[in-house]
Amino acid sequence: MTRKRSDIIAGIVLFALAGLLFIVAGFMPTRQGSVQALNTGFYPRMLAVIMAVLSVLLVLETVRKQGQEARQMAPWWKTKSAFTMFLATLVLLVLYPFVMRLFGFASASFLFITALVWLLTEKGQAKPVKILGIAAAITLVVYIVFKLVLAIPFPMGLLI
Amino acid sequence: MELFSFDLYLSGLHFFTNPLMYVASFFGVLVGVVFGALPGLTATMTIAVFIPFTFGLAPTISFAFLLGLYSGAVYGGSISAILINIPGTPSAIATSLDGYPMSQQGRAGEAIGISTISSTIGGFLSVIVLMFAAPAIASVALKFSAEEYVGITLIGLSVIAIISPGSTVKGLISGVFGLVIGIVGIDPITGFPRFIMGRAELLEGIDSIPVMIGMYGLSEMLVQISDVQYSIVVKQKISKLIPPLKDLKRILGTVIRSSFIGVIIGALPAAGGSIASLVAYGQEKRFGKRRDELGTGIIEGVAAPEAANNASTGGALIPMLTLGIPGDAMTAVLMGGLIIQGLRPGPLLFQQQMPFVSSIFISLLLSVVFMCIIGLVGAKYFAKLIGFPKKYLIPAILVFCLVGSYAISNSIFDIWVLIISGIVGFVMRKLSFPIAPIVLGMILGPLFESNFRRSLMLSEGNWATFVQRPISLGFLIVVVLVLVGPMLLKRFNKVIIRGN
Repeated sequence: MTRKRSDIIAGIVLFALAGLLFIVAGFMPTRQGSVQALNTGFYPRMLAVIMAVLSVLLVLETVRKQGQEARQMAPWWKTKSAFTMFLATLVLLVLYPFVMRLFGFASASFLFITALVWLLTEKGQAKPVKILGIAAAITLVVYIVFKLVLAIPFPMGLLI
Repeated sequence: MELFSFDLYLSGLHFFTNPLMYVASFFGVLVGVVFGALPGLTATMTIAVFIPFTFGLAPTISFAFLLGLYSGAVYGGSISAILINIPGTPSAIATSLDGYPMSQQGRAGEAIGISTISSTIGGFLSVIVLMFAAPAIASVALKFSAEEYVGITLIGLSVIAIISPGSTVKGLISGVFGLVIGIVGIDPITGFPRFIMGRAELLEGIDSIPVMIGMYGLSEMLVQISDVQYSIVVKQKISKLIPPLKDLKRILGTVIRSSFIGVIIGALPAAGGSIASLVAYGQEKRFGKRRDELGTGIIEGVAAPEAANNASTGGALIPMLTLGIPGDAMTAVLMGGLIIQGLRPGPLLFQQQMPFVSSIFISLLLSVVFMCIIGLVGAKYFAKLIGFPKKYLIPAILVFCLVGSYAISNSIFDIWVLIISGIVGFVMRKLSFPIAPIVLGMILGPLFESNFRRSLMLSEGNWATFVQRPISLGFLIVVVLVLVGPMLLKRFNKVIIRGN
């Protein structure tokens, strides 16, 4: 995808979002006969209009830059494995709150760090003992700071 | 009101009988320097990630720590700029221009020493300016009404949109996007809940801290993961850290000039350390005694940007503390740290919380002192840390982001806010939308809305109220100049070139 096309798509998506915001704000309660600014939907609607104008400007600006920028946009990831790692990180992030509620925050942190360090280590170089040791050390720091020093009440999990 | 009394400077002194203040400041600077020196961890991100640590502390101790982080991280960026030509934080970009050549000539220690001393002098001067300028501006700002605040907010958002790299339209879109995030929650005037999607957590609006940690911390880590890994080896030996007296004499003029540039640029709404250091380097190139040697590795080239970026720290605090309008992304995040302590920056802070404001001045001064000591003593060790493998760093930072977001209000909901903001921030970075305007818009949004609507209510719906008050009109003219000015200037230059 070129940078140009991605900008046009971004403009269209933003315009649609602005439209949605405008419509939803219309359902908010209004008072007849009083100053418009008093209404709940007034300010969101105003932002929606500004956003819509700006997204049109973005598309216009992009189209006007004709010719000079047909260059290929750098892909979001440099290699296929980097992309896999990116997706895996997202999965780990999403799993974190669930694991935290189930087992407790220290276990969740330990599992998260272990899994991610293992993923980021080049294949064939992984030394399980070293990875587990470093994960345990970082978890210990997190535990000391948040649980012992700051005394944050974390959800009671099956473990810690 | 008496804002110019000595109370403003002395009433916070008693907080410093508490040794914890020194501990907090020292650790703030230490952590700041280390994080600032690590490439890829920006100063803004460092402050965002560490705010959850401060939230249980007393406001004075919390700010001793945060201001230490701030000074330390802005200074720390120079270490990696000098050693490996990668600025640890954006405000050190100009430092690498002469710092790296010096390091290639085997003079890395000398460059770091000069950077430390210049940063110290710059930081010191900026505190002095802050101490005198802030109460003056605060006493003027006390007279501002809702209309003026609308104008100032618009200035802040338009300046940050203009100076953000890339398209101005994208910068403005980011700013409006931030304002839209600020809509969520109870309407400040009618009490009607907006866009809360049935979640009680959203009644008071989206918590800005997890959003900031997501946009600056999590999304940056996602960017680094999607990039190819690189490992860094620092080979240079670091020696001769303490510069000889003749070198100090040589850079004194440069440092003082650059410091004033730094304070002034820092104080402009939304123009922060990166701009200050580039401008200072630029003026050294134009007016400096050895301007022809710049770029080959001379000490002036390190002194100018480093004095300027640390001088901008005090400058950037001026609009944040006095008007509640942050000077750049870093102070926007710092302002988030104030708000979770229940303190609203603005002129009233000077009136009602004088001892606290006083403690801010003293803390900043203290952090400059610690920065000098830690820089001169610890540089050797920080240089080793730069090579710390990313594969351990990224997971550690991510866990701090996750646990920190939870810790702010003990809510798993905030972890979701963090993850979603991180992904949104990642997509926006990849589409080259700037992040700083979003954060500024989000922080200023609720204040902007209530001032804006209050003005319109008092004027009974008459929009002319914004141009009828002279100061408000002046601010709006500035907004128009900021947005249209650069375009006109370009046209003008083209016409002149054609004419020639």
